[in-house]
Amino acid sequence: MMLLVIILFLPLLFSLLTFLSGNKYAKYVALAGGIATFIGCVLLKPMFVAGNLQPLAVAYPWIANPVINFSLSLDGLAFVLVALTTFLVPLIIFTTVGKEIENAKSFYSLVLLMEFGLLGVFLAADGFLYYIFWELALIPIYFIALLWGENRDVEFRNRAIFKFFIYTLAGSLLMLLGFVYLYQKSGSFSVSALYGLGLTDTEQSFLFWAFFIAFAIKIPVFPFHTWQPDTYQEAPSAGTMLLAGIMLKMGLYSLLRWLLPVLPHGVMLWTPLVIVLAVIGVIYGSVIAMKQDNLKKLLAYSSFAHVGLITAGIFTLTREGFQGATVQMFAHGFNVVGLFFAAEIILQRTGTLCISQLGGIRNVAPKFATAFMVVVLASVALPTTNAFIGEFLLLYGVYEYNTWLSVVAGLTIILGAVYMLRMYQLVMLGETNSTTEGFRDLSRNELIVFVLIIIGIFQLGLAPKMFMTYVQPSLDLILNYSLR
Amino acid sequence: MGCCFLSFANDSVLHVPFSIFDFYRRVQRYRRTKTPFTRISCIDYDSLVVLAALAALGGAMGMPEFLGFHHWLKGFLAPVFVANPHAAEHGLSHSTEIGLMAGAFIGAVVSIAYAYYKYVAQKQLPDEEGSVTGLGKVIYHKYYVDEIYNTIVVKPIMFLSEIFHDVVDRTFVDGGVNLTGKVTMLLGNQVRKIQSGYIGFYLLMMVLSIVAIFVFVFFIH
Repeated sequence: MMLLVIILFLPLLFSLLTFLSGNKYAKYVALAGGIATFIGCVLLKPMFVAGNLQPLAVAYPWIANPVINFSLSLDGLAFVLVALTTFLVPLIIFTTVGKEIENAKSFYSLVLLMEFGLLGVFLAADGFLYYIFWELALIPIYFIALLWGENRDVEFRNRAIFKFFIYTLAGSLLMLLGFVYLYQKSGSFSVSALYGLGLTDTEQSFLFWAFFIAFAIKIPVFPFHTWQPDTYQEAPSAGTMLLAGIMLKMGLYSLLRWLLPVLPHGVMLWTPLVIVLAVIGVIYGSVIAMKQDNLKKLLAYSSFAHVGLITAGIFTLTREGFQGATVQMFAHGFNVVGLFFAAEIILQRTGTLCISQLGGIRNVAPKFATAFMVVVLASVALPTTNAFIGEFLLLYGVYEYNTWLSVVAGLTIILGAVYMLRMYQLVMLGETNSTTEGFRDLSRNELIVFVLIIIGIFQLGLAPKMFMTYVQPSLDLILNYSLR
Repeated sequence: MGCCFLSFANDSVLHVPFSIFDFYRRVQRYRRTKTPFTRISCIDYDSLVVLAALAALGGAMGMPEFLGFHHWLKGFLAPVFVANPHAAEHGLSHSTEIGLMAGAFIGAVVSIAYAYYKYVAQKQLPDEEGSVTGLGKVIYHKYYVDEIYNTIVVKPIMFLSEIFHDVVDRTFVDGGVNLTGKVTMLLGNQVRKIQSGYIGFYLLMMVLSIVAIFVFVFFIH
């Protein structure tokens, strides 16, 4: 399928064009590239028959020895993540349209280069190719966060972003070792060959950690999360949206694609520990979020709590856990981009993200207050919103695994509502102060971004059926491999 | 879940009539004496009306099944469980349904009657805070829910939040990560001293290495 290759390489092509177009036109060329890729994804939809077990695939020989193929594959699971990526990237670019960005050509071309890496991760059907894309996605975000970060304390920013880079890179190297071992055993990096590989329990147990640590750092799972709050805080908002909206899905997707079906016995062996760690993350992240005074840091810990629940859902090895994880990956992408966009607007207008210095914004910006409220309610999983479907299924999955664990994990909904509504109350309600009195309401472009996000929130929240019919066959297949 | 609903329903049905009749008496007093409201403001009253309307709407969505009504929300998550149709079918029996309804209904009627008797029929004006005693005082303070909640939930969680962030996260978890970096730097600093530039030292290391290789090849291997 040539279209798969075109969709993958369009962002790379436009990344180059963006860089060549100069600082003045860079944002428009990048936006055009993002939209063109999204249109390509939409064109894929009718070709991708819902309920079809056979993924769209393309493979070209690349390196003869070791046997490495340029092989891509798109099943229902990959399709929803490709759709999420191709939708969110132009949206994220659009959020920056009204903003003057220094050295814009480099910034936007890095954003598109990152999209190239992310799409490669979701499409790759060869372990080696997948690893290349996995690492490739890290490089642009490192520069975006480092060079365009908004915090004036440059030394702290350098330290935080460097830690993020080294931390995630170190984890990935373990995965590379894992792949090398798997290749030694199977003679192929192909995903289908790895799914059928017969490894001893001891081998699987060791390999599990080689892969899991790489994914756990990226997601992040407790206690591999400490890079996250500082990086989210230091990166520019567009970078934070890319990180939280799409990049962490790489880790979650990889659990489903490259860990569970490849090393089922290793997974079985370590599932109790991983689920407990994930649930600890849920509570731990939520509790810490309660006392955060920096809005971006609060959202970082909240995101950490949400992905903890997704990880727990995946490791329940149940149909509902898988369904919930997939829905929530998609929903979280929308919601977190909406939340960080709101944070960006607040920062631009008031010059601060300190919750204690804000207040009363609703009095002067009713449109912003309404849009922000909808996104906040979606992120606390209010019924009829996207996250409700995801969290309900995730908790159902955890309940099937262990009742008590589901009770503890269920606290995430209550705690989430507490810290998010408290944040909203302190930032938006009450009396206007000197910081917020001049707060301008949403511009037309900003409103468009929120409207698109809100449509996504309710579309999935009210009618999850279409989404389910796309992902269900691939999830069932993965579940079968994972339980063998 | 049923218990939660019942307790929530009771809290509302017992509290709302008292609040409404209390408000009614205060309006009368305000008209008579122009004394400002002390316990319940117009905004609270508006909120009660909104809550009452929403409660009625919420109730209408799930009219009793044993009376032949259809539950509007019953099929809401049906698509999600499309491939697992039995997963969501855990309904309550009719007797539980009737029991819950009867409990809430009796609670509501008794409290309405009592509040009506106290505030409307006997025209009692609600007392100021200090002189209210007994059950009235408990209701006056909204069953002390806010105080209890603050003491057993909010304060401990806020305390825990501080400990988790400052001690566990920053000191132990992140400290562990930073320690890995520091140990690497420290080892690097020590090892780099070997690269001193003295030829004699390099020759010595070379000879020692050759001896080690010979020992390994001829005696150990």
